[in-house]
Amino acid sequence: MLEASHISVNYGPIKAVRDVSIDVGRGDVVALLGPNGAGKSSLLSSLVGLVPKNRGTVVFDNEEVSRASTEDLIRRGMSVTPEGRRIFGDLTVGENLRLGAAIRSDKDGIAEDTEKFLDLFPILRKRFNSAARYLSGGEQQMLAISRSLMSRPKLLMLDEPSLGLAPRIVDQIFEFLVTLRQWGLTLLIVEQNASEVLEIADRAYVLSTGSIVFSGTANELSNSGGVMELYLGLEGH
Amino acid sequence: MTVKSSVLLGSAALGLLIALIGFSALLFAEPYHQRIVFIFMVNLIIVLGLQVFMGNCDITHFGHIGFMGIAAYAVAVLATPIAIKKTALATAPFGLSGIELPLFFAVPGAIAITLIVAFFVGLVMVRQTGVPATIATLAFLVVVHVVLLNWVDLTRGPRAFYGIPIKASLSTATAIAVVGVLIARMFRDSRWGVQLRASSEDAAAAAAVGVRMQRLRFAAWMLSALFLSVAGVLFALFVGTISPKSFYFELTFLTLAMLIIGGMHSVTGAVVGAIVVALGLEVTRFVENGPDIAGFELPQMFGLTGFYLGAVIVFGMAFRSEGIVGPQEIEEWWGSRQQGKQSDAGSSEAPNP
Repeated sequence: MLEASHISVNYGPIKAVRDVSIDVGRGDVVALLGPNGAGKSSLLSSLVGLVPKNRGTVVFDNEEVSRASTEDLIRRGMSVTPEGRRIFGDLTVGENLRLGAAIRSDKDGIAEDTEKFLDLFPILRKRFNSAARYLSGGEQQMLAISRSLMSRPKLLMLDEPSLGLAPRIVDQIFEFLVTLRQWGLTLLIVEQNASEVLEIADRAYVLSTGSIVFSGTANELSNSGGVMELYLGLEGH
Repeated sequence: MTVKSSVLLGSAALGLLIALIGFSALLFAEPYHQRIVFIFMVNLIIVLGLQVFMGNCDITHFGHIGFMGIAAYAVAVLATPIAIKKTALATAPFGLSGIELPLFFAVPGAIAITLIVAFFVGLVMVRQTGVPATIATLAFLVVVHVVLLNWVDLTRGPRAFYGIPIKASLSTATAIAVVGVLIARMFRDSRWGVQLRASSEDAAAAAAVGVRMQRLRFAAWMLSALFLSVAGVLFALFVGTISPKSFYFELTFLTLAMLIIGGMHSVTGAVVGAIVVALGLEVTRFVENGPDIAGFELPQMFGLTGFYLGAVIVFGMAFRSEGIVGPQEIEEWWGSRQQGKQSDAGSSEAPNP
């Protein structure tokens, strides 16, 4: 579904991503792991056109989209839940959801999808007309993910969905991600929290200082003690 | 949809207040006071236009009065009778001294000219954010002023441009102000308005959902210029005599103060700010002239109005930086109080994990 080849991203003299290629198949859940500053977020941002690529090509749904704008990519079925949730705190919960559908104009469909997420997360219905900043961290993450689903994506990319959340809430988030997979969505999940994401991922890439140091199935990664210990700070099996 | 009806409800409440001010002046006030209320309506339209841009984009706009000046001079040049132009504007370029358009054409013409200027300035403006954008709007105001002051053949330069047909009435201005409130509210709560407010809160997050900030900013910029051009035309057609200094710093700061005092993030704030500052201004103007109050003769205090404006801004910013009204619209006041309580309870039960 998504084939990114030889992607490089530079910020001035700093090479954040160096010649990285990743491949995400339809219906897969792919984890992108690595320590802080490895270039995971930069890679993700470049894939959705938020950060310019210095080199590399991106093919999405068999079409080349290397130079496409974010708006165009969302229209084609990509969506991203940014790091740190980034909900609009001054706007209401309802307005936040409506923003996720910024590229859509089918009123009935938008209303239908809004209802769907309000049913899934009753707290969002309760707070529909109040400023989103009053939500707790976990609720904000639910809102952020719902918002990025309002564009009806085929591929959802999540940047650190567990960041700053209590373990109990993280479990809920990952349960929801499993539900999304059952809905038929393809997921690309950037995480530092490797153990949790490897439970739901099919395949994984490990990034370190801008380059890929491991790629393989989630099982292979869990069993390769060296990589786990060296880059992810976890003990392998 | 519920959004729509709340916008109508809020606009109706504000519109009623404005109509009440306008019509009580029409019915009961003397011409001198009617004139003050007319100028208030023009200022209100300016403040609404300012709110459309500043409130939704979060960029301080110093250039708005420039658009008003362009529109006022444009309608003056197009509509002033040829007989007057023969003495006052004999050397106008493009054969304009021999042209006298009926208002039916002159008014849309003046608005169109202003919007064309706004279009080209806007193309450059929307690429900048923050302080550079603000400085650019200020530069625009100065450029317009310098042109009005020095293109003597077209504008009579620093001398007054007189003989503009006096056709605007208080009832027209009141009606336009009421419609202006509705338009500003509809824009704020429209899809574009919501996207724009989102992008001014967090540009990166808005980009991630596919919001095209520059394009929306441009729309707000143009709508704001439309408000200002209408204000300029109304003003010129009411006072009949204009000069470049009518459209410079004094009016810029007065209207900015109105918006900021009321609360720039809501249309309700714009209306409340315009009313409060205008009322205060009339009171200080009265005191300034040293009136007799119950047998005591107060001393004359020239400059009191300027002091008042400055003091109001300083105290407003110090004690209520979001303005009198804050970011909420009139119909949200009741509901938000409820939510405030709810969220207090909610946060004590479940602090952010």
